[in-house]
Amino acid sequence: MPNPLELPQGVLDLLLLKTLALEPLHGWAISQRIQTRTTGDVQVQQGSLYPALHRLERKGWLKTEWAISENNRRAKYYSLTPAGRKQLRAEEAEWLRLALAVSQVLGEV
Amino acid sequence: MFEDLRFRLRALFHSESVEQDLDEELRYHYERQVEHLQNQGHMEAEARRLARLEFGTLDQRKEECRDVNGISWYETLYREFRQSARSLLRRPGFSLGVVFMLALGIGGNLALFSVFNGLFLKPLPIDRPEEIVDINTAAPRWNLERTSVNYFDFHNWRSHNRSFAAMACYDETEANVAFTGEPLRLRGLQVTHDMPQVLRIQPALGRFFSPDEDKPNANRVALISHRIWREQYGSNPSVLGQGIRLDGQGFQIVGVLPSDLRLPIEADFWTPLGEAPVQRQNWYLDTLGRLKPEMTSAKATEDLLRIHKSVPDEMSQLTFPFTVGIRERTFGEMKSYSLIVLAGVGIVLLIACVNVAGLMLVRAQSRRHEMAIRAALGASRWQLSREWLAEAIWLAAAGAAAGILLGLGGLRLIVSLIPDTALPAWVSFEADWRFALLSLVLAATSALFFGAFPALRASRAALRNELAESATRSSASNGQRRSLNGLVIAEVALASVLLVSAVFLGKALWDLSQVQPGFRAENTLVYTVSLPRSQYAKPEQWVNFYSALIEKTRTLPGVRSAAVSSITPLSGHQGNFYLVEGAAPLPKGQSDPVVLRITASPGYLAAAGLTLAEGRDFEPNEGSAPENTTVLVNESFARLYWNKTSPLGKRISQRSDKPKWMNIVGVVKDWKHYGLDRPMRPAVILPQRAAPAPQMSVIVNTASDPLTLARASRELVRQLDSQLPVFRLTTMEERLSRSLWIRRTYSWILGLFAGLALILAVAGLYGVVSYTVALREREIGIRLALGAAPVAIARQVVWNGALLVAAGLALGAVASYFAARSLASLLTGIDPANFWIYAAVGALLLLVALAANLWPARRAARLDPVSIMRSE
Repeated sequence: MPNPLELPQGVLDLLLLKTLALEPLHGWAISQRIQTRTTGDVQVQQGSLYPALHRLERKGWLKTEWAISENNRRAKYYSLTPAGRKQLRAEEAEWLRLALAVSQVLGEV
Repeated sequence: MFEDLRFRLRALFHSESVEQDLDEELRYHYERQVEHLQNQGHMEAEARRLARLEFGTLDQRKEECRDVNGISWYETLYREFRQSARSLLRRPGFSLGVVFMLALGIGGNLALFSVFNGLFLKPLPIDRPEEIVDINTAAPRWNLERTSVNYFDFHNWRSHNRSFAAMACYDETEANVAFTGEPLRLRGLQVTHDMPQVLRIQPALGRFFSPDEDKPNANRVALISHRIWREQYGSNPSVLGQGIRLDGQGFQIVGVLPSDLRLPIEADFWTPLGEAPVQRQNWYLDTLGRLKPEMTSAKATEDLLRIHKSVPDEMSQLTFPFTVGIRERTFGEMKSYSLIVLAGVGIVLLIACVNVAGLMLVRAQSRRHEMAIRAALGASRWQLSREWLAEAIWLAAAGAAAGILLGLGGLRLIVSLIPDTALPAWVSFEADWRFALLSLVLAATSALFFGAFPALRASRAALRNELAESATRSSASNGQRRSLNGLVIAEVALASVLLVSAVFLGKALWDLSQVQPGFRAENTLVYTVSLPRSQYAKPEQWVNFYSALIEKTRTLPGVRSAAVSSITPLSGHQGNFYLVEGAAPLPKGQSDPVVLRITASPGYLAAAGLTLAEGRDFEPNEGSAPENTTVLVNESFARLYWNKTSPLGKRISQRSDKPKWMNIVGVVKDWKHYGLDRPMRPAVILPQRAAPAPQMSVIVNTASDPLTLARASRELVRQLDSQLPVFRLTTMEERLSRSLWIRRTYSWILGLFAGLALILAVAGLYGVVSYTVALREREIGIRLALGAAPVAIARQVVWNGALLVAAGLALGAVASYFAARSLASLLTGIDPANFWIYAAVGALLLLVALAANLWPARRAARLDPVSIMRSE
């Protein structure tokens, strides 16, 4: 398995928002989910996951709630706020445009 | 932004729970990972090791999260404020002193402002109060600022004006009413039918008067007040249509007045005025108008003048209608007093602020070293100033809080000084948004004022390299000392202005209280009885009733003399015009003066303590013979028509086409009928039998405390007629003291604040001088070590203080003179050129200031040079 990818600035936020768009999750599940979805290509650094979540909460894009987790323990669940949903749509569109643009350039070469 | 703020505030105020959350969240993650690894087949110990490897330490993770929460400007601010609060609490003496001074200044201002607010600023308790004006007429020829309004004029104005949405006039009245129990004397109003439109009110029950009911000889209908409805009729709606006897006359109740009605006076009943616009003799009505929107009082006056002057008769040329706001009419006189007191209290606040600024400067000086270090380490000017401003804001907030309490307490005290019935019912002194606003403004400006000094200095310190300077513990910089000295000089000057003003006012009040009233104040009881025309239709009945009452009163133990009179001293005015037989016609353009007309029983002079200048008092039964009526005049009257010759035997008559001449048999010395500070008008006293009146005041001269006779007097009246209430029962002493209450109140208040100003100024001086001594310790130590005499050191300290005081006094003397001049323009009895007052105040200030200097001087003289030098 090749080394996990380094995430460019801002992409982690997008991945977190996208992951939470489906259902509320706690921190550990989020990192698991991203890892499985990317088949291990992206491994969320422990040092950046929680600060990122807290930052998104502070911006009002995520809200949190303590609930009982699948292993019957209290865990902090993150979910999208309406503002977060809007932000996700915007960032998604932007990312796709960027990705398209970048791959166009790369394709030309 | 809002989310952010919420988040941070939570972090700020619930930092513990935030920490707990974080801990639990991260711990869960770790445990879950361990579980996960175990599920993949690792043994627990191995799983934990792997998880930790991957996750790192809990503390490290926490720290990263905390960084996200970061420090924002409001957290800095919060810390700044917490820091300065701590630093203030560490110096409770300083902080309490400052808060106390500010509380005095702010509290005093708030209390006095509340009074001013209640009198002059609060809107009247009525719909669109700004449209309401009082209408009156002035008659400059007779020196009458207000003649009251004649119904003919009113009718004319009402019919033809273009300025008023509605206009109504009223007459205050009183009536005896017997519900169950003791008969009551109720205040009432006779109003024209349009009064509700002027006041924009609806009846609580029933209806107001119709225009038809507001005509002479109409059906007698009345509205009663909400209070009477509640207290006497148990709020029963069946009151409508019931009868009520006012002064024995039956009226039908058609409505109940609204419960919150306080205008134009708090009346217990309304009856229609029922006047017809036919005569132009009586000027007795008060008039209110509601201006049309967009109409001003001045334009309305023009409009009224236009209508008024178009009536072609003499009266219309002599009188001038004018409009004025209700507050202006009621309290116009008080405005100058109130402004004087407000200015005085403002000065106290200023002194308090100056004092606090001085204290802050002293503190800034003692922290100069620290500030310099911080500046050297890169703290910005703003950062350094901010600390001082935070402190100032704390102090100002605490001072304002204490000041609000003090102000509310002071307000209650002042209100308790005001006699019950001295102010109209619509005046309320409760704190409102203006009070709140002023509290805020005072707190903010004082914080800025005394916070700015040290803040500026601190930031300047950042610019200069004071580090090197302060390392040598030099004396206070010149700039610092100059600003401190300036503050002291300002303080002394301000305090002297206030003291001089207070002494002037106090002296004027004292002089006034020494004025001989010309009537007897002590041991004199007065009360009034009014005979209703329904039972007492004939004038003989009036005379008989009052004669019987006087006779019975004279038999009471402890009564020296008793009499009745239509108007007793200090109880108002009833005027008339008089002709003098054989007098040269007055020069054209000069009208007869208005003469105070009194009707009195024989013995009135003795009972009231008036003195005869010449001639004699009435004899018993005098005035029964209509062809030979006698009259007394006062000195003013005699001087007006006969100058120096005696008026005895001369004849006068009420102005009329068919004069009924009366012989002057005596001249009474002028008495202060209208108040100790008011001039006396010419007056005549007619014998009761010649000019009977249904309402008379009984005046009783007693051997001891007059109020002990109050019950016996009421009982006498009850024996004569159990339906008659006794009202306005008081002593002449009480009446005299009440007539001076405004002057007394503001003199006391200003005196109190002048005393405070003195104390504050002296405290400020003491602080500054002590501080200067503390700063110069090193220099003084050297001089002592070099052999200077301690006495010389002490003398120099005192001398320095004295110089400051002298400078302050010189400045204050000039300012005081101008203050006294403006006082003299507002009040009588003040001579701004009274040198002694300035000298006395100056001497007092100097003396007290020197005393304040002695302690620091003594300290300077006793400094131990050895220990000072060693501490270097």
